[in-house]
Amino acid sequence: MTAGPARAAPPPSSPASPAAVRPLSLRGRGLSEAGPRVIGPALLLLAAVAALPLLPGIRFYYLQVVILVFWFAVLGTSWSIIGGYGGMHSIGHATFVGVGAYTSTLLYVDFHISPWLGMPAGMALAALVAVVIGYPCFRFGIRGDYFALVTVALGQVGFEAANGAANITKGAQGVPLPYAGNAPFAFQFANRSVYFYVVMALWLVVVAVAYRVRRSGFGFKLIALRDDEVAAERGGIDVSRHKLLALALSAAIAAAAGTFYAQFFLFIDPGAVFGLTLSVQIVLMAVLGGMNSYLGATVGAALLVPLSQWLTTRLSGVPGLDLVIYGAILVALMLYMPFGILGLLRRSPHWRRVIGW
Amino acid sequence: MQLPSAVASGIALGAIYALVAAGLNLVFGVVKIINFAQGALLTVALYGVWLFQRAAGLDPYLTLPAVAAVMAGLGYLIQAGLIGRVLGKERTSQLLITFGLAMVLKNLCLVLWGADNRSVTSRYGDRVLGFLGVRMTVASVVAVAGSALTVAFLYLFLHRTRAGTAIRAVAQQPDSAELAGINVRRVYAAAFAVGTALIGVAASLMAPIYPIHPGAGDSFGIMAFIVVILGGLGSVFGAALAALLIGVLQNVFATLVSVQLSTAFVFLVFIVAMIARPSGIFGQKARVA
Repeated sequence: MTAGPARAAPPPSSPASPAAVRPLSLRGRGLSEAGPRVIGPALLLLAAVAALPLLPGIRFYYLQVVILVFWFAVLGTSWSIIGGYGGMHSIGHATFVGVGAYTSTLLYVDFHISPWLGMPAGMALAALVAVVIGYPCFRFGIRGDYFALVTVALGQVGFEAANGAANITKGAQGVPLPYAGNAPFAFQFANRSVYFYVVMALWLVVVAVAYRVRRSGFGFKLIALRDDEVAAERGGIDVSRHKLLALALSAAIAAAAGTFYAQFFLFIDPGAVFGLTLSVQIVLMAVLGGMNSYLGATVGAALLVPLSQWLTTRLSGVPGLDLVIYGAILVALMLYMPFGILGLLRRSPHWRRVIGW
Repeated sequence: MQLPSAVASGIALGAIYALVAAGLNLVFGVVKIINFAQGALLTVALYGVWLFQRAAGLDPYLTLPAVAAVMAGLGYLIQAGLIGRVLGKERTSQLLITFGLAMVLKNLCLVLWGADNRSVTSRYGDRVLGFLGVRMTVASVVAVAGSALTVAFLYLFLHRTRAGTAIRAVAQQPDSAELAGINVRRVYAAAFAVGTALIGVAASLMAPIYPIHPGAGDSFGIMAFIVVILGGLGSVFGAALAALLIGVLQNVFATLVSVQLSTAFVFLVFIVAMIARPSGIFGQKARVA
């Protein structure tokens, strides 16, 4: 990816060729700039993680922790697209997870429609919910804290509706999915490590999407309107349209993760997929890792998920103590490291381009 | 006779909302921070009432000054030790700090006193008063009266004293207030202390009515935001009116349509109202944020 002689001296016949008018330096060279000394070990790490289920005698508990890491990384990355790039701090992201989980599950349980089809249906519905709630918000200039509060209320509406509309959602008891044995078409696998590769693939796709978005014109417009909405509007960016697109994209990803959750645990209830705690956990993953980077949520999830799992099992004799520690860590982090872990790299121009800060 | 009673108990519920929201109005309106710990602080205050009553055998209403004082101190410490250090920094870190604090406080209650429901009893609280077919318990009547008194006092404090004027000045324009010689940091801490003290008052008034458990304050904390925003930021009476309105709406919907969906209904009303009239039902100024 070095600037070759062709770029330095464009053919005179086409002075306005795309390569000539779009200098690479403006957008940075992204991941490729990290150099083989970083990319190599990163690929090795990825391969090692991918080989985890093949280890003989590995306890499924550990695989489940890694699956949850990927799952939270997907959600956190989807949040980064709106919260980090777009500056819209949603604290109701669980709504979209819940919509995705409930749509595919109810379609499967009540109408025997494969969750593979239910997943895009849930994604579409979540994107629709995002547009319905986002359009008036952005149209009438609800932003900042007020947008955050609207999303909190949205999350509560989702939670209470899933709880209250018991004739559709079975209310607070939740919906168990019938176990179908090895049924790949029904998104169920007897070999549980298949779930591992499904969620890993989902994570790869989502991180790639976030990476592409960050480097696209769309991403730059989002960052422009995050940093100064008025100036962005003056600069000719359709602010509410771009915010809406980002929110819909983010909601659709969260809904896909919701379907995975339902298929993996074969049980959903409003508290698990619509709860305020999940909404905040999603924000936490992204903020801890560094919400402006497409990799931030992955770093955050890789640290927090094992920590919280360990705390939960370790302190199971004293209910609540794990959450006390979790909350205290959260407070300390926000006091001393508000930009997250990858945020520590943001002062170096080289690393900034690599992590897409 | 279902409807009048639903309205009456809605007013009692609204009175509690009004108190929690009054505290939040100060914090959100002055310090400009979304305090997710509001509900958890209410839980802590409720346990405080329970502890004081158990230790001293006092009537729950007599614990009010002690609980309010302890809560004021706690609020001051939170502002000075935590919130004050992240003001003017990242928005998300402020949000997450209060959420982390809420997790710590709420689960500390769980660790210390377990998940069981605790109750605070008074000898006369459960007696029922009937008036024109409307039936209310003594505790509900006390809650309404106490809430009205407190809101009136808060109004007088904010509008008739120097400290209150300083708080309002900082709420409107922190920079100009600082230029006028007001110690903004101290006002922030004072607003936080008064705000949490009001939570303490709310706790003593509601303790005889509601069971006490680690999640007891959660719904009140979120509802308080809705009340403050609907009532218009910074308006004491606006928030109180909005609180009554929401309490009555919620109870009437629960009685006539569905108990389970009543909370969802209130949140939906909030979203619609917020979008249709961003400055609140009773607020005048356009919102800039």
